[in-house]
Amino acid sequence: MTDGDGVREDPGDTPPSPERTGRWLTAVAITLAVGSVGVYFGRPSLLLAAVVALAYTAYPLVTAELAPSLTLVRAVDDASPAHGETVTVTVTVTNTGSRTAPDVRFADGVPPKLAVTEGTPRRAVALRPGESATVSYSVEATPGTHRFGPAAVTCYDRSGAARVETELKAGTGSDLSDEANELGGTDGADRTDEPAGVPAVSTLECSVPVEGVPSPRETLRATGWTAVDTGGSGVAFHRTREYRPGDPADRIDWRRYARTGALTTVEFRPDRRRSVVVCLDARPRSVRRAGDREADAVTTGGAAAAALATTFLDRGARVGVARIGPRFELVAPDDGRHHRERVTALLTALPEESTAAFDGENAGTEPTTTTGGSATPSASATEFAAQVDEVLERTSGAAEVVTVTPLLDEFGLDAVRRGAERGRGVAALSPDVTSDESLGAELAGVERRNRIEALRSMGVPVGNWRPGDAVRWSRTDGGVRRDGR
Amino acid sequence: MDGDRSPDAGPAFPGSAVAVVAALGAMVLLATDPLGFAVVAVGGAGAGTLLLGGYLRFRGRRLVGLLALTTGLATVIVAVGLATVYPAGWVTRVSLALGTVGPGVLAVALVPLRRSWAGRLVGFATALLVGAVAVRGFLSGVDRVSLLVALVGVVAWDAADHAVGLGADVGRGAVTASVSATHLVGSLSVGVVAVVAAVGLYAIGPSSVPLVSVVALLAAVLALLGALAVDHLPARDSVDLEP
Amino acid sequence: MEWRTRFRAATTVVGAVALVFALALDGAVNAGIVPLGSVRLPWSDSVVVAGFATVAVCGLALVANHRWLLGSSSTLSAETPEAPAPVPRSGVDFDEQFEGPLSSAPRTDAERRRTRDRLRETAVRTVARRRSVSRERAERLVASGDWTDDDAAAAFLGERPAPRRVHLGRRVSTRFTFWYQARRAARALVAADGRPDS
Repeated sequence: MTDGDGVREDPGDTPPSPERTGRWLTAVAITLAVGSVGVYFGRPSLLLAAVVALAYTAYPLVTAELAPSLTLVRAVDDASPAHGETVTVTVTVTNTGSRTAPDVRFADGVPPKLAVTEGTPRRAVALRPGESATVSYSVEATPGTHRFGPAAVTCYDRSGAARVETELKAGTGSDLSDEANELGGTDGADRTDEPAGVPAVSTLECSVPVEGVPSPRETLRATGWTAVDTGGSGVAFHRTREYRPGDPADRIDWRRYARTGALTTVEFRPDRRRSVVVCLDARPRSVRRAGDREADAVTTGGAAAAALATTFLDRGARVGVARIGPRFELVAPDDGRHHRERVTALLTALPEESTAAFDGENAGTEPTTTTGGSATPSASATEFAAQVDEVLERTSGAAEVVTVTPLLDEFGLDAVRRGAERGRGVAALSPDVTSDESLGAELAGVERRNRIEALRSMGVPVGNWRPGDAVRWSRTDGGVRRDGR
Repeated sequence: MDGDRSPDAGPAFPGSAVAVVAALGAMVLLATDPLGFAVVAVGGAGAGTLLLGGYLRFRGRRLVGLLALTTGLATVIVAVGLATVYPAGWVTRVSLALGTVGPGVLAVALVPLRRSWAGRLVGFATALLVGAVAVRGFLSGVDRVSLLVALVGVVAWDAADHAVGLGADVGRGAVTASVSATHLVGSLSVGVVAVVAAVGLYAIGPSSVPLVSVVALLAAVLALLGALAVDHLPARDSVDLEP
Repeated sequence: MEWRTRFRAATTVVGAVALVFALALDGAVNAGIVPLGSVRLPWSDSVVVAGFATVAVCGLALVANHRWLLGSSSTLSAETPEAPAPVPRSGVDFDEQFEGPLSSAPRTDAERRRTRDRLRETAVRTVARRRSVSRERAERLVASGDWTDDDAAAAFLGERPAPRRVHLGRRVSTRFTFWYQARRAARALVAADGRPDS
């Protein structure tokens, strides 16, 4: 029904055309009603009253044309909050046009996974040219990368008969609103003090601290194999071969030449770096949360997985990502800046909106999908297991698999077992979304602890992670628990 | 339902107050004798208390708010009852009754009794007010008060409708006084201009008017209305039948 | 739409012409050019009134209908940026069956078997974990009912006979008894796990 599109308001763009609300048709009705009574009974006073109502029907014609020009600036008091911390967001809308905007109503695009704990992100205001209006609200941070959406703005003209609906992305601050940007206290990482233009705040980064990663020896314990020290970069001698013209001089084995007079070249084995696949359980059954203010296991698990993947990359490993769920995606282990961003984006994507139809194991089976991009949704337990198999098949035998799953059902156990059976290094990181708020939640907690214990007794390193803490890996020593769990 | 923290989206308070005050003002203008004023005043007190109750409940004072709501509703009903037993002809009584029920229904709509009904109840209240004006005009056809009443009545409807939309868009917690004020200034100015023009017309118009002239006038009014109404129709290719 | 422009132009012209005519005639009567007797007063002519009333009512109906159909609220009111889309709590599948109304408790034999199997498996694992015994030993403990003090729970998951009140309850309603026993078993399980060390 809208004439306007979701177009960013820019002074340079043509503004979307206003939409009529037709509210002053009521004045038409009043005119007709009062006028006809006046005619029927011959009361000139009523006829004149009808004239007044008639004038109101002409009201929208005399109001100024609706062509608002607005900019939005968003500031936060901490762009890198800790878990559970309250972040105050301040949004300023400025009228950069030459005409008064008599009725501006906007609602800020709060990140989809965050809840507003104080204040309201909405405001209605009349703005003269150059005037600004501010709204402040607070959100509680949960682990992950939270992106603000554009603010939804509806502008009406003075009579209320025409409206324009647009979206405003947070843009750079102009000189007029520099004061609005200067919130006292710590700045987020995104802001500097340039007068010419302040970069927009559009993300809240609540990072997960990681206190270490399991070593290859530990991940291979479950398979019963002895780990060969393959970790770390470096070169190792491989073989010598006959010299070919063009080989670099520093690769020639001079000692042999001195001994035998034959020219030979040394070849080195290519780098054997550690390779890890972080496998995120993003199935609909895992989209559960502990309490009202908590985020669900897939969102927080994704944040922890991203932090873990980044830690692996920082230590020189090659990292791949798999996302098990209705939209299956797999990225092979690699490294590099671009790859790092891709990995993080895939892990922190929002859980798919799914309905109860996906939850049960009775949903119809559909063929498993391949990597990348959109996919046909697959829904039953066997399909998810098949996805795990695909991950194991398509990544090389040396790649270790770290499964990130809340362990609310047997999937995590099953996936780790499959990996161990194939002789792959395995580890598990489990976000705790159970609570003691209901009998079902307590039961889920007991079951989860059982599964963690089952994994640990297999020798798999398990990170029992509660959102807000750092990611730690338990130490088991021949079956004796040191962590008490 | 846990996690449902959407704001209370009832009609905005400043606009609601203006609407009820304007509606009462229209009724006061229509009253002719002190007794009528008294009846309207009782109705007005009831309507005001209703609005106050809604505001208190929003602020969290549920018990006091409920008390105010019941008191206000009772007062309005009392006023309507008084109007029905008013010592005058039945037409006057009908007019007075409509004049007390109108602001009462408006206040009930703006409390709100039910958010999904707010718009419809506002329309119904406006219809009652228009009815009151029409009946009153029928009673005494030659005074100029009708002009003012029309002005104030339209302002009441405008403020109420605007408040309903404003509340739905930004919630009652947001500060909306400036927007409502700007809107009010606009409608008042149009109304004042219209009243001045109408008074001018009234001065010119004679008491006995030839038929053909009146027919032509009526035709002119209808034609102009059509021209203006066309402008109001929203641009839609298909008509939705969903309200 | 260009029909608007044409319609508007047409009606404005008609209205203007009619208005001018009306005022002119009025002025002529007042000035005495046209005698008053030759024109009739409008109030007495029911045709005029009826005609106007008809047109007015039709117009009113159209307007009212359109206003009703419009119901145009802006998209702003439909958005809910304040709260995230609600996500189920953990344990919701169990809670739906056992903490909600009795009507959602498991009804069929297959559902009940599933519930019992799940609780039994969890009991075995919990007992094995907490008491640091082997799985076989834990299974024996669960079967014999020695893992808990709650006799209804023990009977539910094991081979011990059920207490009298359960027998009586089964006569009244098997569904209620199952619900009751399953809840007792779940509570006993949670108790068997003990307080989680933080």
